[in-house]
Amino acid sequence: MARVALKDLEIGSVLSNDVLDQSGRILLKAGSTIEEKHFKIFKTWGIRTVEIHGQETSETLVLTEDQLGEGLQHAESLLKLNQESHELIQMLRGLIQRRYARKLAEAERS
Amino acid sequence: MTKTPRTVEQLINGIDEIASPPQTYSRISEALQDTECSVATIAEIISQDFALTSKLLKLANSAFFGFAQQIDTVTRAVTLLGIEQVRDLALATSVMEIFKDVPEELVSMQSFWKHSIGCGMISRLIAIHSQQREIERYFVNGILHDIGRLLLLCKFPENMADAIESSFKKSVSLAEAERKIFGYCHAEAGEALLKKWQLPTTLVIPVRYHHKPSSAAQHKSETRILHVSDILIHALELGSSGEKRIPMLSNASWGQMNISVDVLEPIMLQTEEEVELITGALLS
Repeated sequence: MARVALKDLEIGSVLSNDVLDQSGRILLKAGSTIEEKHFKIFKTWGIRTVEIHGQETSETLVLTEDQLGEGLQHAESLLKLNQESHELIQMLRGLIQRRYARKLAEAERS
Repeated sequence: MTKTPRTVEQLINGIDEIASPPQTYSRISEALQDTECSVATIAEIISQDFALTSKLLKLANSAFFGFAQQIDTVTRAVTLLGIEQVRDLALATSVMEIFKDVPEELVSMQSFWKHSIGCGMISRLIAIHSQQREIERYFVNGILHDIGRLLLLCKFPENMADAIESSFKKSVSLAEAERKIFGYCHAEAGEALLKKWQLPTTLVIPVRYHHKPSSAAQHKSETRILHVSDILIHALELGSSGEKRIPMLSNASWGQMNISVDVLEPIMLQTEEEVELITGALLS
């Protein structure tokens, strides 16, 4: 078990303790495996260090251009009623695209 | 196609099973009229509703609601959260039992509530982030936001199927397609239902204006948060209330929200992480 700073934390590490925000609310439970998205959650809620069982790395998923292209098409269809240039819509377009492409990549891998 | 009531009032008054709000909610509201109402009285009312008690404790002990200590009794939940907040959660957890006959071929019950619960979770997290008070009502707003659509789905499935198809074909929002077919949209139907239940305006107004937040004369901040949360939960594609596209963002309302885009992605991801668990706890 070791306490590590966010900058040293690796994807795939397993939490040995719950991560709590300043009001004591649990953000992530002990036993959870660290994923890329958790870094943003920790940063948003002001978490600087976490306790982990030991650094392990997981295989990262590589997304192909085709998968990303299909992802973009899917995002644009979902966002059809919205203005493309708005900052929130742009963020959502990227997020929907990546999530869709990742789903395709996971389906192909299995 | 079934003939539909011409006004939302006729719609609401024509359905017996929704004539009153969930019973425990009414009993708590009544008890609160008494100035000497105590935590013990409220806890007793809730404890008599076994299903509600179990769901409430599951919620209070979930990572999402995240209290560091174990909450093993209703009294403790009421003491920690406050009477009004527990009453709001009681409403959220019992409202699902009123609607049982959703035609699964249009939207499954699981999918509908996952969309609504996820929307409530995002609303609550945005509310925490923007340092709002009494955050549980934001969760309830999300749970209730499409309740008018649930009513239309249950009672007029053919007309709703038509609305869903036409909104997709014509690239208009489902709310607009509903208005063409029924003469009113789900937000207006929801408002009429919640008014009939005599719910407070903090719950009614955001539901009424969640697609048109700039038209809300009161509770603007709650309405804006609900509006954006609905867009974000659509973008996560977790559950559905029948709308196949992401509703249109109100630029004016976004401008008044004073929240950075950067904090929304982590809020969405946190919701995604826990929405299955919360939906499971509430629908069990």
